[in-house]
Amino acid sequence: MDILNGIIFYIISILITIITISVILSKKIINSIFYSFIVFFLFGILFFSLNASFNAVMQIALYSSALSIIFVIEVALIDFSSEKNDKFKLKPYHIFSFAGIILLCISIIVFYRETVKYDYVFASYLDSVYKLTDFSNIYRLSSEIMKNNIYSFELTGILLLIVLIGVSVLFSLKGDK
Amino acid sequence: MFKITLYHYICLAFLIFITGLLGMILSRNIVKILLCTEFMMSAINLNFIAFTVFKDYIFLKGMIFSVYITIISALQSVVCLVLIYIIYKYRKTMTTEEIKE
Repeated sequence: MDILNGIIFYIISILITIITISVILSKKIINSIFYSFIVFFLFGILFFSLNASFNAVMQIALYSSALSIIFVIEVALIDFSSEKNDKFKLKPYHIFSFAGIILLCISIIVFYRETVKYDYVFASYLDSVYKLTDFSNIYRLSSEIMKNNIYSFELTGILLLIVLIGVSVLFSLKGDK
Repeated sequence: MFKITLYHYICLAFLIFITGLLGMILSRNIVKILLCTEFMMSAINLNFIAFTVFKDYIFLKGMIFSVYITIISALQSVVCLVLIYIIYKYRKTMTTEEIKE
């Protein structure tokens, strides 16, 4: 089971990294939008593999389906002839800066691993926790939100309403061209 | 090698966050910049969820934070898309350099 989880994690992480880079490097904006929704879907699968079903469903429902439609409509409203300005010209300093930052990150990670030892919760402990709870944590998560975090949930609802009003006001603005 | 720990998830989230940050800095198209911010948000979500699963599986604080981050980042992207559409309507461009002019 550990081996299967490891293989799934490595495949998904490699795919996410490659597709994220291709989003930045692709010349057409519609392609980068398409790649980005694959990345969000893969993130959802990663969340499922972490036993965070509620977050995974939210990720897939919000990003991979709802936002995808909005992004595609947005790009359809915009004239495609403007894409001639969108060509990403890869210059040498881009490559060097990217490689430098990646090397810096790797060195920081390695140094951090050498100096700070994490108190890992190992799989045996996790298994014992999983046996106590259900496979899905949706019930526990929803009860936590509705009991202990109800005010923040209400605030999020008010924020949704404000965004709805703000978007409709922004669309109805008429200014000088 | 195949035993996946918290360290692996932190490394993956870090890599995606850095890639999103670089894309945000290097891209000239504002839709791409918006997509890169979404990648960064997803990396933060991954960090929260991984820490919850490995460290705090009893109270699920990180997962609750992740729910709110997902909702607010989706709202942010909707507002940004509306602003992009309005900018395009008046300026007829989507690149940051031409918008500045």
